[in-house]
Amino acid sequence: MAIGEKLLISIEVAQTEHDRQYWVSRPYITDQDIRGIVHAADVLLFPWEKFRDQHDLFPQGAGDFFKYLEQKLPGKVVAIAIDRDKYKEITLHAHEFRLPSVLVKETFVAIVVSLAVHFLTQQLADPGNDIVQFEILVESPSRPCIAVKYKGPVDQLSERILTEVDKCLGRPTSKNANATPGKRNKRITHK
Amino acid sequence: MQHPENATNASRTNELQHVVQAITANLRNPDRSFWQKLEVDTQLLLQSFIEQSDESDANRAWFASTVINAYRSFCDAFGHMRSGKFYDAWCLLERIEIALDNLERNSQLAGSDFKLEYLKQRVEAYQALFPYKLFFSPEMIIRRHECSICHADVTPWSDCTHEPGRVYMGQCCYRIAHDVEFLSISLVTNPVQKYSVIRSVADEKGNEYDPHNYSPVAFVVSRLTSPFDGWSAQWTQAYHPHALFPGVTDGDPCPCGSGLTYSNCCRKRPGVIRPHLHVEFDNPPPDDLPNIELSGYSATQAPSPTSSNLSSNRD
Repeated sequence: MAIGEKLLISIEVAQTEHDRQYWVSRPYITDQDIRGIVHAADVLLFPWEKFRDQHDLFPQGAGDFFKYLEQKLPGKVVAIAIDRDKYKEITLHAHEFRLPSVLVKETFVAIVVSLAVHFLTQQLADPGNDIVQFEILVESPSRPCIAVKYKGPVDQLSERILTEVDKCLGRPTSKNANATPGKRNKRITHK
Repeated sequence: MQHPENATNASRTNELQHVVQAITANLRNPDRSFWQKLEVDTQLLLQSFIEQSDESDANRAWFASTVINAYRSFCDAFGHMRSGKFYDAWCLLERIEIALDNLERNSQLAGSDFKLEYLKQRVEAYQALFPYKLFFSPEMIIRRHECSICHADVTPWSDCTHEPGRVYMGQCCYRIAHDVEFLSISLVTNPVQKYSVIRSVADEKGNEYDPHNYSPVAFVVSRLTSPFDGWSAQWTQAYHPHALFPGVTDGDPCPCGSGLTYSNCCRKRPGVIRPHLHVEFDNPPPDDLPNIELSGYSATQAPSPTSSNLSSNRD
């Protein structure tokens, strides 16, 4: 990005082959117990692969986010897709808060996104202005896995990601889901 | 103040209350020695709370001490700006910003009004006058983290529950990085920390010099008597006399930076459109200082990219 330009929001949506089977079979998971947990995880944190062509890394603070999810999702399996002795974090340029990438089952998308927003709001010094990055992979029993990458302010994260996920999975969008059945939604006119 | 070692728990708590009162009664006090003495006293008090394992009062003393340090640093930063030590002032402003972030996360003395939002605005206003726009930022792999509170290794699976930025027994938690591998250093516009600025460049002969134009900072602080004097600044555009650009011919690029030739751009106007900083001072500046200054211009050289004019509300 050129000097003087400021990113407002960026969102990318793609179909991905990096589904659960992909992560279970990664070479940096040799421990069979971890492989089993990764296979069963409701929420899976996975590394940025081949960073600078050679490193499999998590963003700084990934461990704190993992602990936060474990605490907020009792009874659910939250896992990290790497052998424990290979876990490393990276600090990156620029004042942007990067959450670790996660793979979730379709039914957990809304709660994980909501928890991500709450976690970020606690962490950021200036939640109104700070830029955050978050990638979420969503697996559905009936459709291919999708990846949504978000970069922007935290207050837009939830709505933007959930809207895209809803579209891809063919669900009513989060906004429309609250509308009264049988009634047409109110038309919004921009002046 | 009674020496904390000889004090009872109740009297120490009272002393902390006196510290809080001293802060709130002196929020516009520009005397750094006042803040320095209060900081030393509060540190001793904090130490005594820690020794007594009184976490509640220790955390409150940490808060008071951090507030005092921020005000003392602000007075110091102002002094540095007045004496031309601009980079030292810049670093202190960054430290204050970090301290204010930590205070925001730990509202241990929530009932007291230390005007921290005002201090934050003042810090941001001074930072905006500085010419630093590009920063060095490291990219590094950290293989091991240590908790500054319990000194345990911190991994996603460890039992340490201390959160960075939170205060425990009068100490702010942070992570100590071990086994660090530097991957690269980049130039960025929005750094995590603002200390790493370009401090010098070399000319053709290899002589190093600071390329920055600090005149906006000097212009403001020279017209204030206290760091807490009110002022506001606004960058706009204004016509600069053509006489300031004697070496520019009609066919040269216009000094306003439009990309057009001088003859097809500002030559037809009352002057060249260049950055202009207008400062409104709450208290009138001294009469012996000019209301307007031109900065970055020379009779023999082309204007620097940061050349501008500066004016005050006596203009």
